[in-house]
Amino acid sequence: MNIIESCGLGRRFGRTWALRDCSMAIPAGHVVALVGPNGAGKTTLLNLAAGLLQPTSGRLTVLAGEQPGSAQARNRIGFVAQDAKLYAHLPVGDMLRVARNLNQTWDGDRARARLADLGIPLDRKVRQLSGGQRAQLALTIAVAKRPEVLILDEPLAALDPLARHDLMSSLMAAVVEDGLSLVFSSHVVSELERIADYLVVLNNGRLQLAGEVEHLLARHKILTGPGGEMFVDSQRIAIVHAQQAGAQAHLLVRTSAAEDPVPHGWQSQSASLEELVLGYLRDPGARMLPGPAVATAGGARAVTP
Amino acid sequence: MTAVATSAGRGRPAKTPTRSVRWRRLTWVAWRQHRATLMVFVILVGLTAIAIALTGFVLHPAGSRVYSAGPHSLWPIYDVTDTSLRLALPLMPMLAGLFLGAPLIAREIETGTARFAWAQGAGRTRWLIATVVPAAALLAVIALGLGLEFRWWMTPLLPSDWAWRPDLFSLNPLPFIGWTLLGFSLAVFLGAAIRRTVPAMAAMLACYLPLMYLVATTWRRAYLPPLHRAAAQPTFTPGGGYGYTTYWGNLRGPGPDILSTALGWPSGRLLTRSELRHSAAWFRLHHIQVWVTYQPGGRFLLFQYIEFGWLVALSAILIGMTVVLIRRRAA
Repeated sequence: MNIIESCGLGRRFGRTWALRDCSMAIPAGHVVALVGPNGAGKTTLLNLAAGLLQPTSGRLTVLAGEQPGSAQARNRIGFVAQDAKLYAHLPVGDMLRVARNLNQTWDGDRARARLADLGIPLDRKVRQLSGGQRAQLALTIAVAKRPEVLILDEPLAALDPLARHDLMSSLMAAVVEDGLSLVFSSHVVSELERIADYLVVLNNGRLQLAGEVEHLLARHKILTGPGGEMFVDSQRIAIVHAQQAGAQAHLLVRTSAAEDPVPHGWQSQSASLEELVLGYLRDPGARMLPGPAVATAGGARAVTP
Repeated sequence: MTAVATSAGRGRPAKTPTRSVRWRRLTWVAWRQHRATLMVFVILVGLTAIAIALTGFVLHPAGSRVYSAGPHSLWPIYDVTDTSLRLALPLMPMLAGLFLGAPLIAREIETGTARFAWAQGAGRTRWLIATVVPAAALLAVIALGLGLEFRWWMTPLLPSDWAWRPDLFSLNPLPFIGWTLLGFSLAVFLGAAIRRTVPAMAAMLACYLPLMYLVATTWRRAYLPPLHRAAAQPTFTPGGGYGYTTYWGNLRGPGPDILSTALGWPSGRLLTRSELRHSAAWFRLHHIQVWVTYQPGGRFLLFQYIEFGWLVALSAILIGMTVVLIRRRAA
């Protein structure tokens, strides 16, 4: 089952396309990181998937063919929007009651137990909670409706490192306990490797990279070698991004087979997820997408400082 | 990289067709959300109702004597209450719109909580209906109560045609319900359309006040074609109805006025005090026929139904448009 499937998906706000020509299929059972710089279209994509926005062009389905925002989709997807806005004037206990009454399925005992574990008192007003506690409350509510898919828009953005770590642990626990698929967006790339096993990179409203992390890492390498005027054979090596550091050049390259030959005088090492993401983000033209719509990247390029 | 999620979501049985969240539960959500505003509103209405009741019990035994001066005159009480009620009661539909209707959706969108509410299982349509309909029903009941109480208060104190007067007709129970519902639903709609509370409040007043003025001054008279009748006195209102135009003509029927202003002869000469005192005789002497255009008293209830009907229909249309807007638009 694909939890999110889109074809030629686009959304325009006024004259600006926030998301354009986006075709992908994200299978169930993954922890999906949706990565991109600010304004890349991450929130737009997630809001479309949650049924809070209508596409301008193309189409998007969730949970194997359901319309986003349909009753089925709403019941089976837990969504936490950016900043996790909840009713600030309500006490936590009443906020839980509101959420219970807005949902068909609800595991209230577990929600209360979770909040007790986290030390969030039920009688405190939502506005009196810290940013981390509010994010935890929003997550608790989203999980308590027992969704199959959890969609979180920038869950970590406003949190300090400790709260971020705690929230990540909670998230992972929820994923393990409930066996749910998780899709979350982030512009922080440094911590993804520990959590995500599926990566979607958006840049400037366009899809740049999508696939399982393992697969993506196996298909990319960092080549380090002499800089200066040097051409890399474009027939064999597709450069995603090239960077000159002193006398050395670092290339993020895509390899077709498991063991491509390394050019003479160059060293090859595997890329980290962060290097991979940053390499693509620095070169918005580069793409690697599954399926027939794979765009070519790189080509013959001079590596010059 | 986690291996934990690899088996997730697979092999899960397809869920049975989902039932909808019960209305009662959604209404509780709306109540919990807006109960503070509702309380303030109910307290204001309650105080008004108490004031009407107390002054009513004081004034009613005196009947028309409230108008007479004297050491124990009730006139000041009557005057103050009458003036305040005429100001306060027409405000109620506006307050319902401004403080209950306008923020209802606009605030959710402004604060971002709409993204929470609309992504839940209940869905935005049911959420909206469960919020708007009980609020509207409560407002209708309050308006009915206040309208009945005001009628009880006014009836012994004013001549029988009071309820027809342009400034008071909308305070009769049925029209009052209509205006309250319109004020509320207009503000709800504008809140959903503009998506900001304060501009929605301003827009609500900008639409509501001119509409109320137009209805009171011109539209209401045209609900049914008026009747014309020769009268002895220009103040004549047949059968307790509402006479609103007087012609001083020399034709049989309403025609060109031969008096330029109320009682100024075409030459501009105003009638003398004694001529005015015997105006009927004076008109006869000069072959001037007084014609009154009026709505007869028998149409009073019908007019209330008409006003109630179109106001409620318009309110329903506005709520319907709000539903369409909320279904279509982004959170």
